[in-house]
Amino acid sequence: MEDKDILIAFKDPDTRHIAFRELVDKYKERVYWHARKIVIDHEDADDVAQEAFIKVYKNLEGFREASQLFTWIYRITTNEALNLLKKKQKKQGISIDEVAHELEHSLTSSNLLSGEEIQLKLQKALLQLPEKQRLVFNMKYFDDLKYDEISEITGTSVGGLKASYHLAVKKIETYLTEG
Amino acid sequence: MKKDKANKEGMEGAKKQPSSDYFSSFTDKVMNRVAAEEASFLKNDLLRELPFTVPEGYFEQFGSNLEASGKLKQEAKVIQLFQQNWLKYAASIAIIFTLGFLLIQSNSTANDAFLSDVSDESILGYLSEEGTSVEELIILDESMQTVLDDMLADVASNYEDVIDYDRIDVTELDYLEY
Repeated sequence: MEDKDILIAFKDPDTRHIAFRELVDKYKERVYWHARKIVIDHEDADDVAQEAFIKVYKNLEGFREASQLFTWIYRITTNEALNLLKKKQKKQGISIDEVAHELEHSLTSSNLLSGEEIQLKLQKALLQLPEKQRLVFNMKYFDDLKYDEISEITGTSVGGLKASYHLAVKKIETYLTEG
Repeated sequence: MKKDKANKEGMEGAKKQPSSDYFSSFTDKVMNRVAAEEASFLKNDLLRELPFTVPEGYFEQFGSNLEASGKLKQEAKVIQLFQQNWLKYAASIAIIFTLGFLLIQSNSTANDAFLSDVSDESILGYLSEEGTSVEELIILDESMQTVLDDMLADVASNYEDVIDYDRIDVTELDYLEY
């Protein structure tokens, strides 16, 4: 089902349920993986993904279709994931750096890990970056999104995004070769 | 005339020229970008895979879990509950304060007038005849205080929920503006 068909079906109370199921099935993996890359822990990513879809459900009727549906969903997911990190930070009374340290702990202690050591090392390198650079890098490198799309999601200029991405790449390269 | 024109063009050209800082940092910018483009890890396709896994059947059950959580229906109701609760809490506080005010008023006026002519000894004598000790009176007073404190704490915590929800709503406006 195309996005526009999902949106039309969602507006009709008789087909709303089916339309939303289609939307969830279509985007659940992208939403989950985007969240997982930010919050690292599976349970947290699950919470973020569910909350993001609930927000989508509540606001979809007012969606203006001015942008692609998936960038809007990405934006909501990003907000939810960052909110979760902020809540953790407030709840535990810790600094942003300590949150990064905790995420690194989740990264090494989780039993839901696989793959090569170098992939894990890249994730550790990403946790050393400022939040914005990490976000941009994730979307560009792993999700292969265009700068225009990332710009719609984050509300940042393309020029700023390019600078963030290149800075991130340089720092990661240094971490991987020296670290 | 020609010379003037050339001068004029030269001046305008000079105006359009970026500052010298621009050119001195330009090379650095390009070199940084080249270095970033050439970062060896970017060519390693293995790194584009994430080292994370999910529990078996997670994505297959995601949609049903989302519905089974009841959050979709719950969230829709919360908006109404929010409005009703707001009124409920406001009404509760108004009632508590009104009752409290009336009680204090009636106690102080009626009791003061009634007991003003009675000596303290007589009051204590009466209470001890009735089998009520001063300690019991203090305990009774303290337990009333505890009940009131609990009620206030309960109302306050309900307010916190409302404020929290309100705060979350503010971030939602962000999506709506989009």
